[in-house]
Amino acid sequence: MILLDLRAVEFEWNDPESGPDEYYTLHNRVRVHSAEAVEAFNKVYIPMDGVHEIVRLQVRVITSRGVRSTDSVQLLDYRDAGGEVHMKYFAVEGVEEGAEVEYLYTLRMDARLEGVREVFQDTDHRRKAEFMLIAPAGMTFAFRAYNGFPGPVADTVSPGKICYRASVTDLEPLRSEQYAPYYDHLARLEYRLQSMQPASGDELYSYRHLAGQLDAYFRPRSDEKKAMKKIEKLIRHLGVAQLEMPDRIRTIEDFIKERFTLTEQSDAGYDRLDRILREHVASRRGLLRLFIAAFDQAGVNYEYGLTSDREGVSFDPEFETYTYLEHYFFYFPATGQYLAPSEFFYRLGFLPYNWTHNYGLFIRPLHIGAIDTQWTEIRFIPALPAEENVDFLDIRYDILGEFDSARIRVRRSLSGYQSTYIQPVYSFLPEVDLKPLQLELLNLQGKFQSLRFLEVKHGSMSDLYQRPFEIDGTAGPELAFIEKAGNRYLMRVGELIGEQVELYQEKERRLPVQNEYNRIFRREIRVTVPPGYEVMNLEDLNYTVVPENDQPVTMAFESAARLEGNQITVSVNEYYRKIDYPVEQFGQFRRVINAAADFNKKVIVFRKTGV
Amino acid sequence: MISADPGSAYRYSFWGKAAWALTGLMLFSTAAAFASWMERQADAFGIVLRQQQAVEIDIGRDGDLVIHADVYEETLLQKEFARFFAEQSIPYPSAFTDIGNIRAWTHTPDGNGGYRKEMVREFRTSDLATSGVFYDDYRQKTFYFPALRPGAKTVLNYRKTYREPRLWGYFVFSGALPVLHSEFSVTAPADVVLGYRVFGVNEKELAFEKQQKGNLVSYRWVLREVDKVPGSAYPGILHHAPHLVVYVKSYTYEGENRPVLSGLSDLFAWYEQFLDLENGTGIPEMKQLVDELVADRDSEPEKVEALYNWVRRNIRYIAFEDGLGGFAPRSAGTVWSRRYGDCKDMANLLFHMLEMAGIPSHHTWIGTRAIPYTHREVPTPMADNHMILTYRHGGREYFLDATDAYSRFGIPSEHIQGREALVRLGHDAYELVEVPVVAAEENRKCDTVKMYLEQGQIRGCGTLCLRGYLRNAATDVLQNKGKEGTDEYLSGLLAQGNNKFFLDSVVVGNLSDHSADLVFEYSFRLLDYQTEAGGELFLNPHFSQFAGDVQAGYAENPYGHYFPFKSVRQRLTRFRIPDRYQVGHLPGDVSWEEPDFGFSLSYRQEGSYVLIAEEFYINTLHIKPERNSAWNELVRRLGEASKEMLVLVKT
Repeated sequence: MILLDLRAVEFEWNDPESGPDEYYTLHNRVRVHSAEAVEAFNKVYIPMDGVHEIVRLQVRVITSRGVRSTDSVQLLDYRDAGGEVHMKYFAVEGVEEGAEVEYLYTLRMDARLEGVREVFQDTDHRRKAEFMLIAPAGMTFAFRAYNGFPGPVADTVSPGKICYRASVTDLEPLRSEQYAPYYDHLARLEYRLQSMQPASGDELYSYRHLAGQLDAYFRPRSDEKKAMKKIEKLIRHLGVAQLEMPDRIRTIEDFIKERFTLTEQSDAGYDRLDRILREHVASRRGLLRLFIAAFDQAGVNYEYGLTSDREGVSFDPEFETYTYLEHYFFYFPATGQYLAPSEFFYRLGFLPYNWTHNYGLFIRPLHIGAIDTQWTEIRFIPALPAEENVDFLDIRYDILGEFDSARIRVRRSLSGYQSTYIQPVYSFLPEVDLKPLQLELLNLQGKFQSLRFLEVKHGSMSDLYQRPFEIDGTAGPELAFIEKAGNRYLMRVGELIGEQVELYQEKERRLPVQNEYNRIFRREIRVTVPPGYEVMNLEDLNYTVVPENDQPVTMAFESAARLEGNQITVSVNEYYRKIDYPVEQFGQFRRVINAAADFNKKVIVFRKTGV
Repeated sequence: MISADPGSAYRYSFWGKAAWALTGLMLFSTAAAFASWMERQADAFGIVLRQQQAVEIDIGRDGDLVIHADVYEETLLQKEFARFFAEQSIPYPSAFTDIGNIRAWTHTPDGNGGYRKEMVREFRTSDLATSGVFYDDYRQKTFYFPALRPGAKTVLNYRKTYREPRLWGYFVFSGALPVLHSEFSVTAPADVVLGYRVFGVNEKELAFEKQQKGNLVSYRWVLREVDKVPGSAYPGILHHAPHLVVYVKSYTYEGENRPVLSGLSDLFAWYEQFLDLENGTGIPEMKQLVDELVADRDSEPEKVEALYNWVRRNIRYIAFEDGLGGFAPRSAGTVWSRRYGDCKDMANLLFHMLEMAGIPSHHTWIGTRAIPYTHREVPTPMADNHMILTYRHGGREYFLDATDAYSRFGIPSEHIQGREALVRLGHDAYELVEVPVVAAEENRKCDTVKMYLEQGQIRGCGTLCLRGYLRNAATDVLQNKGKEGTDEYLSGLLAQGNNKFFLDSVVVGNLSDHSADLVFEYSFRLLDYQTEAGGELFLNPHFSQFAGDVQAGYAENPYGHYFPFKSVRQRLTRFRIPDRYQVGHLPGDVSWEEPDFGFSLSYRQEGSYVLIAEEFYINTLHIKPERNSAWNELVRRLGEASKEMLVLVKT
């Protein structure tokens, strides 16, 4: 249990020549009841990005043995290879079950004015969570609080200073749930500097302001003329001028993504075009600059923009803060398509799904004569329709002789996001990893050791999101999926579609539903009945769940079986055409998800005719 | 506690000009064999054409050994995908080694049949977080190979300097990529005596030569056409990777013989100097606690158990492995007051607490099962990665591993079973003792379940007992996780039949009595399990899931199968025959029993119940590759037997 979680920010502006200094204080008091809590709170990690010094650090542990205070700990240091993460950390001494651990640190750091997020909720109960921001009176901040955290209220504590405060008591723990936007629902606060006296009327750190800076940064620099010549030559060499619209973009994208590599070392000159062209290594922004230079040369009309990962915190269209600006994308007005410049496993038309169904900041640079300006807009990036993301399974199962052996042929095709984790990597996987993957894709893992025949189509990078990944495999003669019961045979038809996700356990649902992406599953199963046998319970395979009150129907599971001659055909369709459902509709959603898991348990029984 | 320097295993080497000349004379296997090897590597991202490490040992002016290794690695990239491996790093423990003179470049195809050389311009030094270690001194040099594409060659070249000779001497002939030519060499003055031993290599394929020129002796090992080593396979990569362990036994300085690791006694002496045997005795609170803990214990082992339990429950595992801190236990007083420490800190605290109670015990160095050799084979720090405490009583040893929070007193921790312990008996006195392997019967899972059908659902209640290592994971969750985590764990632990399993109640017994079986009394519902058709009821009576559990090991495994411990799993199911039904078909009994592994399934009707008895045992820690076919046969038979259904028919 966290007794106190205080975050206090103070801005001091002593030297008018430079910007303000920020003092950030975190004060936590925690009671640890279990060994797990001891493990969780006997180590403290202090993020050091932008931090100049730790001004103050105090630790206190209260146990039955007494109070132990210290203001000197053995501070350890960690820096990652990319130069992005820097932290200091220490182990808290003397923590045991039942102890109260209290620590407080104050950091002097680069003032964060463009947007800060403070999240106050997690799986621990907080008895009190408090936020405080103190600044010279001339600085005005914009705040927005979410999910039960109150909006800060301003009061003047001392002349020339303004203080914003917000606090909440007994903040309940919130745990993540399946198919739910968990982080988006945690109590949090976003803030940024809005204006500073005396200043121009323009809002500071607004998106408009940023658009101008980005445009200036992305455009070719005066010392990159040679590199621009190279790009011009490259574009000519690619012959894109002759291509129509989506193909022109696609050719440039394939060229860049097949030859260049991303580095996380963001400050090492990997954004310079000459270096990128020489080494084929670029930072995220460097890649964007490369794309922009290429698009400009090729006469491609584009907008670029930024959005957040909605599996983290979704983009709030009504509050401007840079914290939402996590991922760069391109948008092409001519085709209405999007492109993720630094995601090598994505191609035109497909942003990572978690960037879609989310708002984004769109920027269109306008260069009219000598005037450079930018048009900005916040728009919704829609999720792709279910038809783009289809998982199709075509299964044929022949029982040979009198259940002597069997032959199974499975064909599967995966399009759109359904193939994201397979198509781009398939051709690169070593043989030893491919075999189990093939069996798994055909839902034959654990049933067969190897396939007798296999064909894979569109399994390379150049097919990515253009053509569905297709796999076609045949196995046998093992009587997989079949069990013996004296003179009866049982076939686990339901297992042929692979193990399905279930939401069987009944727990109180707190969060609304959020799907990853819209999607369709189609399965066609054909089974030959051996001569002299009949199926006792074919009707068990007819199983449909379509929620009532869902009009138009956005999700369903439907299975229907029929017998024609000696062939059983089972058609199993399942789809999800909507991303979000309110928590009230969770029950319906759960029924559809569980219908597929229920189908896994469907079994048909064969017996000799006339017996 | 850190072992020598596994990081170096994946880094490569350089021999120098003389070596280049020599290589031409080396065995080139026949062209056909070479072509076939290259063909086999066709789907690798790349091939390391040459990996060399040329070590020079000198005796410095102060009489200390100076060890440098020149590392050279040249890799041919075969796949487009290889460019995603542009980022490379060289990990090293910074307290004992330095990395210098790094040069790296790419020879990238220029499109006209030639190559263009692109140098790496920037090398960064950063920290390397080791999983499970709170702080260590591992650093890494990170860089990006430029202009990668199929057909490009990367070259990496650097010098590694070893400041502690005891932590030098380890070379793996291949790594994540296959290696065409792998070479390790040492050049040293003639009076530097080396010890070495090769593991995982067919000696016939390894070329070794020793030459003396003047006062310098050079040793050279060359292995060609080495396949890549599969990732991190249990129990540890050293069991499978072809590698060489080499160490300095002794050398002469100004006529005086200086032992380094001339035998186990040198290793022991080096370890022993890190022990702090004095500190920790003068803490009144500690003495008071020790007195309280042993007060009402009669026998000495009971007192030991009480103190051992206190340490392992109250000292949290936080590992600091910086420099010699990786070898020297912190003082008992420090650990006592911090309430955290690593294996050796805990062992040392327990040593002092036992001493306060007047009970002698012994600091003990040991290598866990991740390490494949004994101290006799490799008398260097490579043989150890862990410290425990040994207590002797009544003619037996108790191996007290304070990082093992739950194993029953008297049972060694799981990962040291069968290993050789280096037990300190006193100053300059030690003994090697083998840690026993715990019998299968001591690690038993036994589930007794009664089931019946009610309104189309299976309902049941059962008693599950977990013993030994099999209870440790459960104990950990139940004692430490909150309600949410515990509920989820129990649903998984007790699940049977299918995933439509609902646990209705569960009572846990003996949770805090670690010497007894952990017992779960539970009741449940199971839905959509049985199939009804034409007045017949079909039910798969194999609730134990043994068949599913062993499927994973079905595929051919060149190393055989390793198990963390021996075990026996049993299940007895009593299924009540519903009213107006009778048994239509009962599967026949099946068994397959070998000394090392086996199973048995038996079925019988007893009044209005069908009794299903299932048993499965593993009586070894390692099924050797030559026994793979027997193991596969077991898996096959068990799989077949598990498809036999129980049929009940309406009367």
